Amino acid sequence: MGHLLAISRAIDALNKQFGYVANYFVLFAALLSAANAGFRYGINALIQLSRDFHFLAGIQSLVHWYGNNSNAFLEAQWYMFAGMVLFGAAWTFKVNEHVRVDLFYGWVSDRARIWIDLLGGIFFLMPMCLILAYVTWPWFVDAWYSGEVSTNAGGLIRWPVKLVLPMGFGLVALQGVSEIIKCIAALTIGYRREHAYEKPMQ
Amino acid sequence: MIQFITHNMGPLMFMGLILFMVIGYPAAFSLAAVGLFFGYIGIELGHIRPDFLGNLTFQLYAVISNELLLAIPFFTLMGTILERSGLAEDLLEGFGQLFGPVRGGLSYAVIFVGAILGAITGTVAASVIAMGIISLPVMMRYGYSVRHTTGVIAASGTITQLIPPSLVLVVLADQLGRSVGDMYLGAIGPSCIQVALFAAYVALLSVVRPQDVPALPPEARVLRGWPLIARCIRGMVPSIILIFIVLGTIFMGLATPTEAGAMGVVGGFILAWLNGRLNWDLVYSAMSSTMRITAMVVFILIGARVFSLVFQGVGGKEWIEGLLISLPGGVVGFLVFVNIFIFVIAFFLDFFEIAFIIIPLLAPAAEKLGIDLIWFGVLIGANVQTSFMHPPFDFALFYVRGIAPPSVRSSDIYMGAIPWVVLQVILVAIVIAFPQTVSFLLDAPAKVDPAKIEEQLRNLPGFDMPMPPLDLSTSPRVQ
Repeated sequence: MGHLLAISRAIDALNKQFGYVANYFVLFAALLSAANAGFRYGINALIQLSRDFHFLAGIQSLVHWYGNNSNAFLEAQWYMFAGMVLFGAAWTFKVNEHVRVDLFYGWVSDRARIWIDLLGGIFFLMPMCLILAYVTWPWFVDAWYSGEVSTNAGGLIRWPVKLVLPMGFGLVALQGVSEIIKCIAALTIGYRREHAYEKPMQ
Repeated sequence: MIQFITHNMGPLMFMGLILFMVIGYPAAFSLAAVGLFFGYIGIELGHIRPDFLGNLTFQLYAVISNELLLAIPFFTLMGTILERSGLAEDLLEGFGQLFGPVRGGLSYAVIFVGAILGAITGTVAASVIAMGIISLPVMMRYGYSVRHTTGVIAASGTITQLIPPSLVLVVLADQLGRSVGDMYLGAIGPSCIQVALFAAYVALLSVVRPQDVPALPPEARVLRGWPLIARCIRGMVPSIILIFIVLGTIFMGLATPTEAGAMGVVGGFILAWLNGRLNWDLVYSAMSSTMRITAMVVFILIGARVFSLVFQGVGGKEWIEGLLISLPGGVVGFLVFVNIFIFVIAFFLDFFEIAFIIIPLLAPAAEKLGIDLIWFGVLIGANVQTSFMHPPFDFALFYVRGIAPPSVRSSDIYMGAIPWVVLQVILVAIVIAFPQTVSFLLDAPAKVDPAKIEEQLRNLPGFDMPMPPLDLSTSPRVQ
């Protein structure tokens, strides 16, 4: 049991790192999106400024640089969205914040809850994540070998975002293993699971 | 036996959904499990072809590349930051003093400020917590009844879900395949009616039960004259600027709802900074709670997509559609049934589960009956407000519980919510009876104008290649 719990701790630590990355995606995606929109409103004013004041000529090349890359910035927004969802889902699962229908779950004993989590982990979560990782993986492989690029001018290369899908499901499956270990430990050696279920806040 | 299963895959799968969900394992995974389980049976029985599941990849990719869904993290982040930016305090202290001398004045202030906060943010938590912290102690100190106090604060927080820019409406627009801008325009009428209903109820109370809603005694009215006006302006100016940044840009067609949310985040940062409250702890905790909510919500959507793909494959959609269309009473019968159904189901599912599982089942039938989906969406939006006011997803009451002193009993909080839920139900009835409440603004010319945004993009220097059409009216989806 000790070895298994060590594995569980290692998985938790790994997914904590991915969750950390996902947190930053939230902030960066918001700032990038605001900058994209702001730049778009301001662009004519910026060009005018740089015409009127010669010492601001640098702005013009900045505007051109942005114009050439604007699709990349727009796409980076949802790349980060994909990242925050799929890298963050495992950690969200670890802290038990995936919403449940707690009609029955809220009413049964602690031990019954452990059983629900154990059987749910084995029969619901693991098959789902493995199947979804399995069906999305070939897409990534295709994109990787073909070097697929966005159809938008100046858009981003596609394989990273296609890798995010199978990776995310893989990470959730790993977290599933960790939670299953914790359930078994809770049933056999009285291990105390740290995160009680609470309704997620909206 | 096998023949029975083959012919009734739709109903059986629907029952499977209920069974799997009720067990209490996280909904996102249960949903996907029902889908895959019945997908397996369907393939074994030759009901659906094995390569049908190949569509899953497209569905999942459509979810993560859907720019509209970025509004979820942006609006959540904005709400979390604004909650702690000090805006609600400024507003409430000003308007509390302004309306205080009247009976029920503090309640009017809460309703009014709830509406203003609702026009800035799109999440419930921001309004309820911020308003509760300021108003609850004041109202209790000056003799407002406990039930009324907790009820009015929670209910005014849920107005956020209906007043644009609301996250609920973004998600509904996405699920119904309608433009968010139209959805927002349609919701303006009903949200005004709701504010009026709430205020009318307080007015009624101040006549029928004046002891519940006393006026502030003179010694509590510390601000008068110019300082009072200054205080109100201090709250209103940043509010109006934020409303313009978020809502104005959407209505003028300058920004997509997603971008408006992102700019609202920046606006929230600036406001918090001006009030001296911006620090890294605030930012990081807002980021991480936003990440968890986003991952949770989008995973429900992923699970729902797996479910509905298979459900469609086994003919479940036609089954549901047939059932709904054959309801007696035509359009009104359908709407009454649907609204009662959603009201009831909200005791079991949270809003996002309703939006991702139930709405796609209802929308085709609504469309076939010739119901305007904007009207339908606004109705659902008004209806799910109630779910924030009753267990088990009573987020609004939950926040009130979190900030109320222990002397406030939970039963008071629940009882206090009832009149407001009734008012919300009345609102739903009004909107069903008078579709004009939604449609009267929709004929106006101001709409999110994709052509305008596209033109701005075209004017960017440095584009040599033709731009792909920007489609803001519907989200990219594969169905």
